[in-house]
Amino acid sequence: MAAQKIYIYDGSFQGLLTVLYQLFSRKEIPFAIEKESAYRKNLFYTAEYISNNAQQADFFSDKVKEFISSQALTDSFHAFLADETKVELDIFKYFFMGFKLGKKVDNYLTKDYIRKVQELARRVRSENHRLKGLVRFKESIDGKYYAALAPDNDLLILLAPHFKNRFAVQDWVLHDKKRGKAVIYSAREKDWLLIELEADFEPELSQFELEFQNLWQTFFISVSINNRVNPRAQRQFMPKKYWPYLIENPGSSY
Amino acid sequence: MELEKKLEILSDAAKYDVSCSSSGSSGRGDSNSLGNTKVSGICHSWSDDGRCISLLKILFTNYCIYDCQYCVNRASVDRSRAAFTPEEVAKLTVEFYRRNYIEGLFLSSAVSKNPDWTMEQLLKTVQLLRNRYNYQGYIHLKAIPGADFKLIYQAGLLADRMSVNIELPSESSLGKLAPQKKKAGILIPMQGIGQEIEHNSIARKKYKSKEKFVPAGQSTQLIVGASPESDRQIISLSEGLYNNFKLKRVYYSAYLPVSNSSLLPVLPGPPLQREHRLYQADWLLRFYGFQAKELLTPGRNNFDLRIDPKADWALNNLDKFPVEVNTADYEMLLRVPGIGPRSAAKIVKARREKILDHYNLKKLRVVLKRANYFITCAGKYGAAVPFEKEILYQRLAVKEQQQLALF
Ligand code: SF4
Repeated sequence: MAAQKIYIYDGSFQGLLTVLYQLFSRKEIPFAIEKESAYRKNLFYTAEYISNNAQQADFFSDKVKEFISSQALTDSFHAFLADETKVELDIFKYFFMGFKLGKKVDNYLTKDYIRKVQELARRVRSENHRLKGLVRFKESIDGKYYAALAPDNDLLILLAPHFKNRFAVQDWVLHDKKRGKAVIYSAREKDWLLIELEADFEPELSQFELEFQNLWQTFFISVSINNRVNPRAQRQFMPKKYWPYLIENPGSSY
Repeated sequence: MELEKKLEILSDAAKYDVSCSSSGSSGRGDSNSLGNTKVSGICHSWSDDGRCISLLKILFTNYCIYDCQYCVNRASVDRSRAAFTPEEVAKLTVEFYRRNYIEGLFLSSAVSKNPDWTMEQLLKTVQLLRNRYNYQGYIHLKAIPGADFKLIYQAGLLADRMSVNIELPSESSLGKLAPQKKKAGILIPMQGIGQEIEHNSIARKKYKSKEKFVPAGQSTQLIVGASPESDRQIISLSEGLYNNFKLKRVYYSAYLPVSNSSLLPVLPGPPLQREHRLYQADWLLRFYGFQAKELLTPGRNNFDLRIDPKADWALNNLDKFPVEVNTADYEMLLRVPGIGPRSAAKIVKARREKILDHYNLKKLRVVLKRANYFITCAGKYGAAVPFEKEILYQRLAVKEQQQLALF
């Protein structure tokens, strides 16, 4: 076998699948797989850039579905969205075992990388689930609904379909301030689009917006039962890191 | 009165109703309507008391002609009163929903003027939401005891869930503390809703387009501690409601001393720990395959507050333990204290590949803290204490200190 190399890709999941396609067809085991943006030159290993190729990526995902399972493909996609470096190598190893073991691979929880892929996938799904509730839209002056968020994981792409189903009849924007990107949805087109949007973008609000924010704050205060105050449980379910983007003010009822 | 003031009064008056779940309905909403309902239920915030906020939970009005002793809104109490209009409730719901503050509306009401008038207001509100605003988010509606069933039925075609609160777990307590809401007034709509749900689901199988009636099912609430019923009576009642009335959920609410009526017991505070134990037991009935009569017996009428009902059951059935994790069936694994459906499923899956020892279980992230006392792994018992009831009890019981902190 040739000396181990570092493989570099454009940072998209399709790009990663292309790398995996190449590795498996060349029967090579990588030293590392890194996003272009994260790669630092390394004296001891040679690097190869593999450019994104939709056909190869599709071919590879079909093989994963055929020989492992569609769940395995979904899990690795969710794990990929996690805020975790080196996840690519774990995904490689996971598929490597997967092609040997078939869909049983998910039972081998005693292997670190299999557990890791599943755990990262779960972490991403759980933040996704949480944010479906915690995202707050504000009505802008032109009638669009705008929400800012700063999630741990790169999951706009998972949230978008949920809000598309829910708010099909209004225009909305989901803005990931941490990564400087956004999903914009158009009610007329019934479709959404991922765009770049600078972190300090703020829309101008509609004249009724503050009134409803006020009403919500009032409701938030009055639903809490005073002699049962429990900030610990509150923080556990709704970690402080999400508070800056809420409308209500935790702790305001006592 | 200003809308904000009404909201303050009427959400405050509704907050003691504990049901916050919004799960269970699906299939409403499409690309031309506002909103949909999610099978899994979503919490949108957590209030300062640590409870999930999922629904805009309000009373339509808290002007009440009745005088139920345990209730903060009863006629004889001097407190601020308010009433919404259907338009106000619909507007609030839609504006909150569009901003993703809420999963839907939970609308209840005191009985103002008379039961029919009150039910009509609730019906008008849901009609506005569904027909004018084209709102397809979640709606949970209270059926008003004593209202004409025709009104309840119409509302049921538009709501996702309906409930009638039983409040008091026996007829005699109800007669004493809520004489105007005689038991008949509660059970009749409950039975009616139950029957319609059943007819409707049969009819929907036959004719695809048949409209849905209360698709997320029916629930009720019981107040714990305002009347003398034992835990055994309460969970037997719940079991009956699940089995015979096909209820989706029974909610329990620790009685908060809200009035100084001489008919009510004097409590140091709401019996929260008891409420907690009842929820745990209810959970065991619904998801763990337990029956009420296994959990409590004529000789033991109430749950031990210091230990959860599952551990309590295990200690009273020590002859069935310890169980071997490599061979026990799924149902038995579920009965091991500390092992839930997820852990049980992981064990069953992983043991197909290898014989599991304690270390493997740890790697699977099965929490052994409690389970350890009740299992063996490949024949080995891992807890460093003798397998005796008294000793295990001491290990599993809530320590005095911790227990105090809960109140
Ligand atoms: S009917 Fe009874 S429980 Fe309902 S609001 Fe009136 S007094 Fe309270």
